[in-house]
Amino acid sequence: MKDPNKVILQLEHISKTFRTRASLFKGDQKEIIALKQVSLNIFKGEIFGLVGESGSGKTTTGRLIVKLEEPDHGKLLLDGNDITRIKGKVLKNFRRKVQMIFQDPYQSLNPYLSVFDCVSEPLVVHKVGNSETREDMVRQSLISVGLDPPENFLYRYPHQMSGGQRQRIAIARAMVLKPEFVVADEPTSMLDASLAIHIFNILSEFRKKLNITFLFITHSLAAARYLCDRIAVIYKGELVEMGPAENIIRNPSHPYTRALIDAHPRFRY
Amino acid sequence: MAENRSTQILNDNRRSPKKFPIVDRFLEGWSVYRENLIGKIGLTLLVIFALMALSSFFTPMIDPMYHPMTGVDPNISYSTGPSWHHWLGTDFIGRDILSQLLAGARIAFMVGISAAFMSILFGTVIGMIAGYSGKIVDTLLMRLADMVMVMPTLLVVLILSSLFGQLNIWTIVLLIALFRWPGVSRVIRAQTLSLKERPFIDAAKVAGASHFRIIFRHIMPNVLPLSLLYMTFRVTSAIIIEAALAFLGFGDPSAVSWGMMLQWVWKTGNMFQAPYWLLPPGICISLITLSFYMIGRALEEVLDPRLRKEVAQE
Amino acid sequence: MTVNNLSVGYHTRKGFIKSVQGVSFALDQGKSLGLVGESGCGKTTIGMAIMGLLPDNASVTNGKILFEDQDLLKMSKREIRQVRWSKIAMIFQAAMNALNPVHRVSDQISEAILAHDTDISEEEATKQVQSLFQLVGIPMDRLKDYPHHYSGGMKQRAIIAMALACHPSLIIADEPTTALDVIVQDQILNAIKDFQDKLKISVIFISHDIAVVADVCDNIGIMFSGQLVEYGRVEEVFNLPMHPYTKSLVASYLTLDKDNVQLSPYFGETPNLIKPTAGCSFCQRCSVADATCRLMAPEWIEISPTHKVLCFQCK
Repeated sequence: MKDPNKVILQLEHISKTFRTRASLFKGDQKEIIALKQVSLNIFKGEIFGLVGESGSGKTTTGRLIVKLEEPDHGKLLLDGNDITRIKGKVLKNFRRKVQMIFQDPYQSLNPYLSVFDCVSEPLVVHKVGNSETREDMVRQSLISVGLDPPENFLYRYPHQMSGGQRQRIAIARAMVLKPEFVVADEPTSMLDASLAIHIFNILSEFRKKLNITFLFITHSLAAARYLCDRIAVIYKGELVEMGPAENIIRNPSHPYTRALIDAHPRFRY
Repeated sequence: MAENRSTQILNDNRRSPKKFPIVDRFLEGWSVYRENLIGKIGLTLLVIFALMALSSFFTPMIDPMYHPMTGVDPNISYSTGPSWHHWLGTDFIGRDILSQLLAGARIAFMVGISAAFMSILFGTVIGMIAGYSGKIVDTLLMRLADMVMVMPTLLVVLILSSLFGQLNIWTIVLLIALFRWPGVSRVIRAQTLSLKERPFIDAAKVAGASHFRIIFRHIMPNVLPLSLLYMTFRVTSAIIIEAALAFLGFGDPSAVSWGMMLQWVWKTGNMFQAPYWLLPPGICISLITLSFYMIGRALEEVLDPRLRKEVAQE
Repeated sequence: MTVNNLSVGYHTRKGFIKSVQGVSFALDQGKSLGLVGESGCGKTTIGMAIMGLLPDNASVTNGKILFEDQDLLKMSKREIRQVRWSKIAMIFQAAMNALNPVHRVSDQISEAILAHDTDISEEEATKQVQSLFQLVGIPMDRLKDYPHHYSGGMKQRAIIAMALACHPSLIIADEPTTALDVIVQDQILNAIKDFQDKLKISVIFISHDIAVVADVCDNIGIMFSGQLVEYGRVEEVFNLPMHPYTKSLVASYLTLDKDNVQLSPYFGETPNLIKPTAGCSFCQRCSVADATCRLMAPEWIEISPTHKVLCFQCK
């Protein structure tokens, strides 16, 4: 499954700074350095964890990869192709291969679209299939995230479903085009702790069946340990440690990683 | 944050969701609306006026003499009070006031709704484009809106009609629409600005949707309720503007609107002598605008779930 | 505090949602209780009912809440207002948004103090604010700042300070650390344990995260679908979970050291609280349910004098 010889995604010295506008009351324009010279390689078929706290830059990294933002410096490569500044048709093609699962299932689904409309959106945008085949593909996608039988859900609206179901719809939407690379941005942080492993197992299944590569962004080391092959720890825009998940947690070398491990609630029972 | 916002999910499994859930949505909205007293009053009034407007199509068929413009009763040549023949009396040349009132209802609806619809159309599209594009396009459009908004509608239309002579009713409608869109566009723009940041818009972008698709498939349904709400307010102002224009003598003389009726009362000096002529159109203008306003208020409650008193929080 | 057979529901257009059904527990002074359950189980409603902050469409259909020998549910609005904050304080979910952005933090807290204790002077109030800040661990030089200068963790600590301001004997903390990062969460939990120790305040800690309550609380109540399904001392409930739901919560919890995480069957539909089923509400998800469970409401079984579970299968 995991092909150590094939790097699917590369970040080379990526830097990104956000500038807030100068205002009358807050003084000068402030610069927030989101990412400082971040470089990493992700292998095809692996689940790579990016662990950090809020403000560390992990979400920005995810957004840069799916091209919701553009880096100020550095290069982004997918399958060896430079995708740093692509536009137009090339960008649209890119979107078929790289998808994202967002953090907040209550906000990532358009409240006015039914589940069917939502999940079939990528199909319609990329003109895949016709109305019959699309319904089939949506059904398949819903079954693969555990919403079975799909007929019960096809024409429901987001507000009629629980957070866990909504997040699964978001996953179904991301997977319907069978992408190569998926960024999962804290997919369980807005859900109850008991739902987390169900969602993780769904992602694992996708990796097993379709060899999809995942970037799993999280603030929980325990979640990263459960799901990921390798982890990188990010602190204030810089990668402080990177390596196989088990190693990082058993033998952390950076003091920040150690602080994260110490602070993690110990369930002693 | 935990699922603190999840509302109680009902097991709707007894009825599998239909393919046209928009009907479901409408029915749900209707059940909320039903409970609002103001909305019910407004809707009742509106229905009465709609019936009036509809019946104006029938009066010439019942009795050809009852034409609002030309239906001059040969027996009467001056303004008379209510009688068996003419329920509300006649105007200064013997035309039946009731039929004028009914025709006026028709005009009010036509003018009100079309002018409102057009101004909402302009306002919504421009607001969405300005809000979504940001930067230069946004600035240009909003400055344009500012300029248009500042111009006094009535005055401009007066000037135009004095330049070009009597205006056709549809021209008036167009002009009202052209001057009334900025208010809506500001609100829609604000709404779009906040929607733009929401994750589902990001999700649409990541799925590969074009800007056009995002605006019209994702943003529009979310701003449409607000547009519809504003439409009810716009109808109000459109009707009043038309009435004012007609009253001041700049309306379409072939369209018997309530404002026109008021103009005739005033011009022929019958203001105080003929209350049966003066009062009906005036009251109708007030009531119809009130009814639209009430409907608008009730719609607000339907559209903004936070205003409703219901669902459990956890 | 004793809660006796409390039942609360909400009137909605779709029906009467029975959010809390017959919950009873007792809390001694200085001890803490953790109420654990997933969203929709009724835990927040209980907290609101104790504070008298239920929304208009909610109604208490049964039960008593006894605090200092008085039934809180029978009090008038004025009486409740006196109890609230000075005797019982609440820390809400995402409470950091409860700070008024146009006033300094220290002013908001001293305002709360002065509102409840009309005898003390302004300087005294300020001194109290200072000592509170020390207690929760906010540096003194941040006293005069506005809320937007504070980080999320500091805002939460300021909220805790505000809750402590009037020396309550009970604090209800509803998911106080859910929106916070792990390191900050650790600090906040330590602050809570600290003041609990020093000031002997009772705490009711509401959360969906079992590790958080396991860290802070003496007793645990597990809630599911509006009912308390297991109750006992923290060691008992988590070392020896009896109810199938508790077992699934413990088994599916992700830690940094344990390896055997088990998946609990999860059917995706939350239970119907408008027309609850006749039998046990956990049947759908339960791996050991039998015919009796489905037909009859389960009864309490005592595992030990301090540990009880609501389940037929736990004899």
